[in-house]
Amino acid sequence: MIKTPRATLGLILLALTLTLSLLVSLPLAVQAADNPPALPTDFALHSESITLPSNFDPFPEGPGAEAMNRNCLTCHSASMVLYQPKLSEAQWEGIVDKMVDIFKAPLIPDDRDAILDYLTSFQKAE
Amino acid sequence: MSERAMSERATPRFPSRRSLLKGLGIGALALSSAASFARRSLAETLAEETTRLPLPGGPDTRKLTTSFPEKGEMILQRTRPPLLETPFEVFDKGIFTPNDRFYVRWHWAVIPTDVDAAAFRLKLHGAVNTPLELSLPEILELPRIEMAAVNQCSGNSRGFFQPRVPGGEWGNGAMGNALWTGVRLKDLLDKAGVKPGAVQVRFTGLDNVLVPDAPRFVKSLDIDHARDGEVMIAYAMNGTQLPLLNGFPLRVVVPGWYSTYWIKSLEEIEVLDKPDDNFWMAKAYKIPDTPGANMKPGETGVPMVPISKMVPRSFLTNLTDGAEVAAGKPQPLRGIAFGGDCGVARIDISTDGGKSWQPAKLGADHGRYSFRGWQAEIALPKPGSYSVMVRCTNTDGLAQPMTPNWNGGGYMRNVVEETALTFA
Repeated sequence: MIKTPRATLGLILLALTLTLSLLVSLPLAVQAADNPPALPTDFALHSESITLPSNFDPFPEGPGAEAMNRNCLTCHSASMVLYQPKLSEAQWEGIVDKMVDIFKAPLIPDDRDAILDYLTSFQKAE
Repeated sequence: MSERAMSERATPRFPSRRSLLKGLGIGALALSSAASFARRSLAETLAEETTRLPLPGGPDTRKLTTSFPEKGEMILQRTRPPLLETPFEVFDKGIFTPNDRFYVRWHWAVIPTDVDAAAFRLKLHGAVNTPLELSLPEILELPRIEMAAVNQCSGNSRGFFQPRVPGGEWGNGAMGNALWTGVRLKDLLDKAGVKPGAVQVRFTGLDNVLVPDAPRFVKSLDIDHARDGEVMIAYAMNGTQLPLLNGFPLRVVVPGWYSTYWIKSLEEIEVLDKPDDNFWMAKAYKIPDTPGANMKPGETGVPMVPISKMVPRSFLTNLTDGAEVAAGKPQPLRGIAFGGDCGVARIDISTDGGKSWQPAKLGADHGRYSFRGWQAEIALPKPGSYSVMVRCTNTDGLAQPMTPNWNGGGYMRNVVEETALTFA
């Protein structure tokens, strides 16, 4: 839709009048209900390329931290673990099993105990 | 118009900030160290800004970040794969959530960072007469539809569950409202010709697993739902193409349903002649088959079903919990609401713990799947502490519950929200 400048000006004035009358009659206007701009008829999509921040920050130090760093950071940042609420040993074990059995995390078998120890102790230490 | 859209894309917020910092650095330091100064100071300064999500029992501190492309300031839940939450104050600024503040949630470590618009093809195959490979210009030539709709993570507000449950520990900001533009999925399916016996339609995006045998993130809808004329393949969000982190170039829009079905960077649509039994449909994102997806912690034998329709929610946005306001004067309130899978019928406010309710005035109607603004005024004569409750009743007559639901996945929270205010 192509509007003439005059029609656009008219619309702006109308919108301003409406806004002002709302401000006078109501103590607090509802959220701006600005419609997002209409999509032009000749809308086209343009290639996109982004660079994502990469965060491989290690887990806080403690017994088992190295096993955590070796096994967990490949797929996700440490914050995913550190932001979890306090969970029981059984819950942590269930999560580790899910990572291995369903999400196919290539866990080094000898690291499993150290990982469970870390997970169950870091929350107690807080 | 197209020039404006292009210039918006050409000047995303983050690169311009970086150039600004670089410019400042060049003035202050030797050229050789300017770039590293800018990079370090940006990362360090931004990493130190934090916010508090009042999650019971904690951890409740989160970093704020502006390090993600095409994104303004977001709450950093996880860098890889990105989990970015919309800071709640954004919802007080308008009923359409800006693209650069819209929450982000990816499942697997391999997510698309480069999409060549000319080379991209959307594949549609399976139980169809004519498999299709459509270019983006071909999709843009199809009949265009537009719809305002709320996109909400199944686990939005999971961090408020008690007892707490593991998962993405969101506050209330894993939701947003946008004006989506695209084509009807029905039109694409009709173009390919669905064969008799088709039961579901499966969506796959450009994201992928890092470990070969892991289950790729795919979701399916029943064939009748996929052909209802509302399910959309969107190529624009709030008047511009989608940010890559929100699913450029194409995203499934399933109005009224949780975001788990809104596959991002959609590249493949497969018509299935038997129900999808993949992990993400059969095992994950399942809720108790009970009213409000509610069960008791530890309860066993509860039948579970895939999550589907959203439920009503409403929020006060102009005052935050613990705010001090003047007693004896009218106090304006405003906020947002949505009906879930239908419209907002009414919003009611209570200042006496739910004993009595007064109706709020509803804002402009942008369609039944959109956020709807509301406003009200309360006057509390005596100083003291009060809590304001907001309750949405949707056009199907479903109202938000007074007590929170619970389930092990942390899904579908929609309890009446309460905001404590001190009138002094």
